[in-house]
Amino acid sequence: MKKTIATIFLLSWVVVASYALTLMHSWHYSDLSPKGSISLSELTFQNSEQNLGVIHFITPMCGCSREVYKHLMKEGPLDNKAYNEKIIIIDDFKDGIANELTKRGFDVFKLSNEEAKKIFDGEVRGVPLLTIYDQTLTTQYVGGYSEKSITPFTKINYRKFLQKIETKKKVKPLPVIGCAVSKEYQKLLDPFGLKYGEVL
Amino acid sequence: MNAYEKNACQILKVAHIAILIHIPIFIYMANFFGTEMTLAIGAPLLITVVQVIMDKAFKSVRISSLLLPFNIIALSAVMIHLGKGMIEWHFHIFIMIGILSLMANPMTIVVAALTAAVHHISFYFLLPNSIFNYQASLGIVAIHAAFVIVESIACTFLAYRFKKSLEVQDNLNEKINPLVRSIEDISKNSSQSCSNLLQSSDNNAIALNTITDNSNRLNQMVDDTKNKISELLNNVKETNGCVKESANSVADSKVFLQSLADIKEKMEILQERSSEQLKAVVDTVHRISEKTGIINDIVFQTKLLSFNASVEAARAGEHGKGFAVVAEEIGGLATTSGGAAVEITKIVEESREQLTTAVDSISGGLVNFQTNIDDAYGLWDKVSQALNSSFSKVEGNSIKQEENLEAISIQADQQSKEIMELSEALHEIKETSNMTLNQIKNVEEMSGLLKDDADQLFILHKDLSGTDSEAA
Repeated sequence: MKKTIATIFLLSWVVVASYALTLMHSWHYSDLSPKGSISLSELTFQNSEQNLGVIHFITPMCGCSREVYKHLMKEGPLDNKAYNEKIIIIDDFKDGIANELTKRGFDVFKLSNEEAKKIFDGEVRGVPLLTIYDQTLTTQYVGGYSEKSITPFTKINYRKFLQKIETKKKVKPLPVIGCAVSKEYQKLLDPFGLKYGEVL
Repeated sequence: MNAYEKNACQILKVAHIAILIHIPIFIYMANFFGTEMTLAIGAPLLITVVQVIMDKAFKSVRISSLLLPFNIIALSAVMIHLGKGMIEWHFHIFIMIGILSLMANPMTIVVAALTAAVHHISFYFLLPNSIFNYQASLGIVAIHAAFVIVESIACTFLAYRFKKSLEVQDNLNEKINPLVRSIEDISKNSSQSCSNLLQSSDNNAIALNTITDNSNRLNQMVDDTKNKISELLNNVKETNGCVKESANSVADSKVFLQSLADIKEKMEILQERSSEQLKAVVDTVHRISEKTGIINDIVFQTKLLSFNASVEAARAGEHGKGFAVVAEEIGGLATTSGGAAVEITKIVEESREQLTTAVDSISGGLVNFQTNIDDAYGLWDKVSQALNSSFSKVEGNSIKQEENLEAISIQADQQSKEIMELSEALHEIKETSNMTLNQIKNVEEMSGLLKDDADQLFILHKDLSGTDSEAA
């Protein structure tokens, strides 16, 4: 009897641990890139001289987003004469971060999940997400900031993307590895609400 | 418990500690990468607890050694998660698979590799694009898989060889263990025997020295005895001579006794003669005494005649005066003669008494003398006979003693010779004993070397067994 219980416990442990670890790994390896194009109809350029628009989608609860935030704070905003740069904070409105970014000179917007879903037709599934578009609001780049999950070791350099796009070169989109924004993905990646809280 | 099980138990213990050691590393990682602190602390604890519970529940090294790789890879997975999935943390899996080879169970490596593969494949099925966190080609996937497969095969082979090595170690240990014990016992016994032999040898040496000293003293005593015997022999010889001389003297005493018998006879004759002569003297004195009576009678007659003459002279008057004077003188002479006669009688009487007394005395003295001589003769005769007998015996004994002493002297010479031989033999024994002592010291030294070898063998045995053996 004791052996049977122990065996059941052992097998349960193997299954549960495997499943839990698989879920946790998926958090770092899931590509949350938009499946289609992001609708930018509501975006406007500040002036005609601006060649490209840049939107950073982040959420402070996400570690990768925090790394992007740190990078932005360090590098500061792009030249607003040439670039229309915006930061959209989704679903996590820690005033501290928004205020800091504003103080740093960024144009910051705060959207809830539902608002983001509505505005971008549910295409923003995960953050941090980088979107670069031209004056015709055609997206030139939609993807992540790095090939891998963003860590303190990751060198973020989206300015190179801008240079390439400006020279009419194609930029291969990088995977969006970070935190799911859409409820569907949150439910898929974190059915027990370990990372995103109660999503069920 | 065989070597494989001992090794597995040791590795399991170390693994528990190693898993817990990850906690501070995980805490730092969680802090650095902004990942879950609760997971950093809780996951290693949970993994350790589960491993310990399963170890205790099944009490099976085989099951524990199959659960450990799963838990270890789970730990690697937690580390990878805490490091935000960086590919660099996957090296932890490679290291752990390598370390798990120490379990000496090929299945441990297989389970570890399978666990890693299942994790990756399962979230591939969950999210098909995300085996890796970047867009990896099939070639890249193949390279990664190849590394894992090659390492797993190598580690499986390593674990298999290690297991075989432990089995060989077990066999070797089984064979060495009794050998070590046997050598150790032999070494101890040999050492103890050497100590005992050394002690005995020391005691023997002391005893030999004592015996040698005693032998020397005995030799000296035998020499002294010989000298004494020689001296005694001389004395016996002298005594023998004296005894012979005494025997001769005793023989001479017979002559003396004969002389004494002659003296006795002569004394008897002399006594008779003296007695006769003394009797004659007594008779003479008696006759003198009788004659003295006559004188006294004469004196009385004379006095009576004088008286009568005086009376006649008185009658004769004047004319008778001259006669009276003569008569008076004659009376006076008679009185004087009477007085002399009385004195003579008295003297004779006294002489007779004295003579009688002297005769009696002489006679008694002679009788006594004779008696004494008789007694002396008898006594001397007895003494002479006793002396004769004694001297005969003494002479006989003296001869025997002399013979015995000569025999003893010969034996003492023999003993002295044998003691000398004994002394030489003891000297040889001493030399042999010294040689034996050196041999024993060599054996002891060899025993010590044997013990060192046994110790080294024991250490080897301990190293082979991998634990503190009971033999310690």
